[in-house]
Amino acid sequence: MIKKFRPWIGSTIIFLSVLGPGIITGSVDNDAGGITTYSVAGAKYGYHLLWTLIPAFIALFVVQEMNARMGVVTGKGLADLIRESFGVKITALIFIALIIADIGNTATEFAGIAGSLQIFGISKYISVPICAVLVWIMVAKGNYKTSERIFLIFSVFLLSYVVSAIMAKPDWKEIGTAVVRPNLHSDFGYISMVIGIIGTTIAPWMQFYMQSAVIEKGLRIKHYKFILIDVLLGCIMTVTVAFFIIVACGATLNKNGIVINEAKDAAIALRPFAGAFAGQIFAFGLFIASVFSAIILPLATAFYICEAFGFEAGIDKRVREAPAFYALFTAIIFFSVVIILIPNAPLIAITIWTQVLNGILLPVVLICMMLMVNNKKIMGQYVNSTAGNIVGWATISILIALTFVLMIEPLITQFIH
Amino acid sequence: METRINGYNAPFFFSQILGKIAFNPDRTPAGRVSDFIVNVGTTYPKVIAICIKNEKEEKEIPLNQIEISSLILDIIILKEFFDDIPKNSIDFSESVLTLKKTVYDRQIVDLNGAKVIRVNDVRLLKSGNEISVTDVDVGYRGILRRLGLEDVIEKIVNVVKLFGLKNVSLYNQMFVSWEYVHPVLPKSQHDAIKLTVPKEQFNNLNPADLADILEELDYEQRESLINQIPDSVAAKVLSETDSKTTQELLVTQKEERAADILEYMAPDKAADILGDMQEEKALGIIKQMEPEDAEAVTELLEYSDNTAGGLMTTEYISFNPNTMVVNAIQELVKAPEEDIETIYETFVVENDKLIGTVNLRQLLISPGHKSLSDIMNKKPTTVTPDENAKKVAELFSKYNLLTLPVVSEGTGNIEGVITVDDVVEYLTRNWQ
Repeated sequence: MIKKFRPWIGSTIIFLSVLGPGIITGSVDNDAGGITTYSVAGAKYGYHLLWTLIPAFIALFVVQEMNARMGVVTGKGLADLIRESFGVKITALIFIALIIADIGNTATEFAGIAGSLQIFGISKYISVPICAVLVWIMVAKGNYKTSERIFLIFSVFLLSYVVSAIMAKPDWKEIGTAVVRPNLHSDFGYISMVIGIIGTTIAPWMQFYMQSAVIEKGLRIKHYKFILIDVLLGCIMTVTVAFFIIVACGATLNKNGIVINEAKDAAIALRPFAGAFAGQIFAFGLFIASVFSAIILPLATAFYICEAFGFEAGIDKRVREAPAFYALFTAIIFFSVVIILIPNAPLIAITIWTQVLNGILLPVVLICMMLMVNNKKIMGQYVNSTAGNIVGWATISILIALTFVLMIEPLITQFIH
Repeated sequence: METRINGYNAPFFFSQILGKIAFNPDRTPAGRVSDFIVNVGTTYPKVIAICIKNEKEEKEIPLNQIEISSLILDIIILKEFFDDIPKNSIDFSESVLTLKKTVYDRQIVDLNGAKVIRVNDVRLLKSGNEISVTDVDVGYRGILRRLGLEDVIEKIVNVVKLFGLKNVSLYNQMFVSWEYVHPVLPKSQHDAIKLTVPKEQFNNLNPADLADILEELDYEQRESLINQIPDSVAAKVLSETDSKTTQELLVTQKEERAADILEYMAPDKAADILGDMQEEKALGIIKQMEPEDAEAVTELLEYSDNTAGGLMTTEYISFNPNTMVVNAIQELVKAPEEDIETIYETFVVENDKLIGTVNLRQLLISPGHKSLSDIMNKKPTTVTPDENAKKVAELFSKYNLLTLPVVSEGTGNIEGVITVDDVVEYLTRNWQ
């Protein structure tokens, strides 16, 4: 009698409609900073650091699952929850640090754009301003649905690193051995590289982004199963891309003893060993990753600041409806572009200090998260299980210890020099 | 200045009192102020107790146990020793709420501005022996005050003003009077509390604004709010919210209430919503609806979403061709607003067959004694129920229609009417 009821919708379709937040967050994770870290790690230590991707994967998954769960249960962003649970002072401290760190992070992304397009012979004084304007338009004029689609396409492009790696003709047997039986070193450089890889995988702003994306999509606890898969896919995405970057650089640069400092150097250095095309593909991947993160970072930062302080925000709102949101977003892009375009800008110092700020922030954000995800008043029956708590706190303690070392390490290094 | 120390009408902020030390009669510290309990039975809620917390416990101290003269709140002195004051002296089943847990730092609904706002501070007024809540502070200034930076920034702004920048807008005070504040309480509390906000306040809000508000609230608050508003308003609001939100909120309602809400909606909208639900749940709700509404909705459910049948409503005004103009106008005036979507176009029907249409203008300018068959438009544009929704939208656009009757293919019987608001979605989709 009743025909209008939709026929049984296959879970594939539900999954596809739920898909997005996890994969996008996972992909943004491989930003310019990440690609640099992985390239340098591969060039310097070959396959010896591949094993670190396993703990990085676990930590990433544990943290992101908690964010997704908090989002679907409460419908509140992480910034909202922190404000309501911990008051104005802690919130303000977190967000002042976050906005400074994210200007630094965004500057790194624009540096990635500049570097990758230099491979194709385009000056940064042309590429950076043009990309900045495009990024701005995409957010100001876009809406969540189209943006998400573009982001997902970006994510697919990141797989270009797989092509680069295969063209480098790596020794797969050697890679397998390196993952299964890690070759541990005890020198300072090696340890700081381990920390660098794990640290770059879990950045504080990602937690905010993940949770907001889940809410903006209107996902609920009944989608949990699919959300979990989405988060899992995102984490796999992150480590897969990282894996192939390390392999590409390990198979070529490391074998030939070439040391690099930047992701761009890797693209240049790849040419003689894997062909000009492999180098270009590598640069293309870097470009995509940088643009991708240059969009999401300022967006996410502006979004959660507005959320916490009660200003109108959201990509679906127009400039007049959400002035504070667009002002913040524009300011972050503007300052990071200026930083990159200043001749002889102290990029390395900026990177280090950004890393330090991220390092201070991460434990604060993670501890806030753990306290809230265990609060029955907030999470109801969906608080962490005991097992979840053990894994969670262990992950967080290790992360805090690592970021602490990561944080003081550049300071010590700088002090020594 | 309004503030007169030890006098009447001394305004102060909640943030200035929260965390302050309260003293026993012998001036030994009793604990710190942790919350205010207010009675929302009046327009401006009165503070009835102050919560004091020390290492051991938290107690609600009734206001009459506190030295009120000290409540410019530089010093708070209890009339009895903290340890001697009984616990749980406040009856929470009355219209009381706690400021910190439900208002401070929370999102509330501003009924005047029709938006969701976050409370940065609460302003209270001491007047004689009473303290009442007057406004919530939602501006930058509240944030600065909480950060302890209000004075510093004020000095800076004063200096800036000396240089001629008189319109430093960052520093505007932004208060919302409690009159317009609607706190959206957690589930555990809202059943017990009768909020003072009169229902008319909600009736006065534009349903589209209220829908935006609803979408902006978190999941728990959405449920609370929809429980607090009358069925008729809920129906208007849920017709405007995006389909996901509508589904979520209706499914959380008891079937009886969901049915009551749907009865207030246009049948085509109700059918759309029910069609998106799980069949079992939808049938459960339809069973609870009034037979007449249930029948209309069930009929519409037979048509698929993207066809004329899926867009149309079955509630419209039709007349016999012999009806006199004057009588038709009388009928239109009596048409109940919630049932009939539009009166701009009426339909002339003979034995269920559509033979013409008459618009409001024609009715008003024609002599009262004429019959409708004399003035009607005899060749109205019509569609069949299975016509594609896009085509329908194109017809609306091409002929500048406000309504479009749907007639069955063979018999020419009128099945329903599509109004322009039902196709706006398809008209705008093209240029997005």
